Amino acid sequence: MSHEHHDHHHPRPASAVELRAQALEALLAERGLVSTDAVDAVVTLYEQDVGPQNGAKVVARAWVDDAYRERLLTNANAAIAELGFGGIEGDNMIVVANTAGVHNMIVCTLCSCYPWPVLGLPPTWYKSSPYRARAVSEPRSVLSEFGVTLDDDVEIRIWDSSAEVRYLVLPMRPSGTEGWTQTELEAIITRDCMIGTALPTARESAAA
Amino acid sequence: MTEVAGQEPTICGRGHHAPVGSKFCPECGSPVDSPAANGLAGGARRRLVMVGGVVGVVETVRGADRLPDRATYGLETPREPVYSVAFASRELWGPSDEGVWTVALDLWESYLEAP
Repeated sequence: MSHEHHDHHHPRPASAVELRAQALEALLAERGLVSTDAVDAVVTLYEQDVGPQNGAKVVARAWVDDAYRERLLTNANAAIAELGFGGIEGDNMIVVANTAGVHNMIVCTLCSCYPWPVLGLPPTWYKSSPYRARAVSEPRSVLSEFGVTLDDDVEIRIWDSSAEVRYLVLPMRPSGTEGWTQTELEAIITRDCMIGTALPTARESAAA
Repeated sequence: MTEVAGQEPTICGRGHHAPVGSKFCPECGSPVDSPAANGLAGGARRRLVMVGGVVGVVETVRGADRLPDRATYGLETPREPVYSVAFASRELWGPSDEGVWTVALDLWESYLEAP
């Protein structure tokens, strides 16, 4: 086999799913049901502009602004729209807040429903059958595999997303972040923190 | 449905009496019908419901929506209430080394059975 060749010369073979998606796109375009430009625009938008950085802005604002937090928990769509986010796959948002006694985690047991406007596209593991099955049937084991250990008396609440309702976890602001700016806070709010499979820590900011 | 907030003994989905304020029945682990309003319209009490033989508690009314099973096929279907229904893990999976957790599903009125 060649030793000097790089991926851009010999890309890995497309997977069965990728080939199927390409075939579907070609058929839809051929029949005039979608344009290739429209598909490209959606892919570009969600690859480059929409992602967990949006959700991090929502969470950071809620951490520093109690009135905003209240609005976010009572009418998530309106509060998220205040920051300019919203749209498809997030038309009906519910934000669930972690507390000292309750840890929230989201899943879509049916498929891969996910709050696109604030988290972008779902990670592969979120769509995998093991996560979808185990998040509801053994959440503490799943959390520990993600490196999250909760006290025994913390109630775990699993929220099963659907085509109609999408969830976002509002994690607790970690200690050690007093006096931080909103931008500094955003840097420690990862995608997984807002799915509920990670907890934000002040430590991570050192690298940011 | 009578409402005597916080006073009457609470009853779990399997008919056991449980202390006022308990979330889960100490006898069988199923959810307890609590008088707490929890955002239900008109201060209604939490309502026990059953789905596929499993007892859960209506915690919040999400709103009204068309039944997706029909709407997705373009069939005419009226809007109906959608509830956030919480199920105790023990009701769903039986006892576990992991203790008890809650699984909340958004369910349409048509899916619910009286317990």
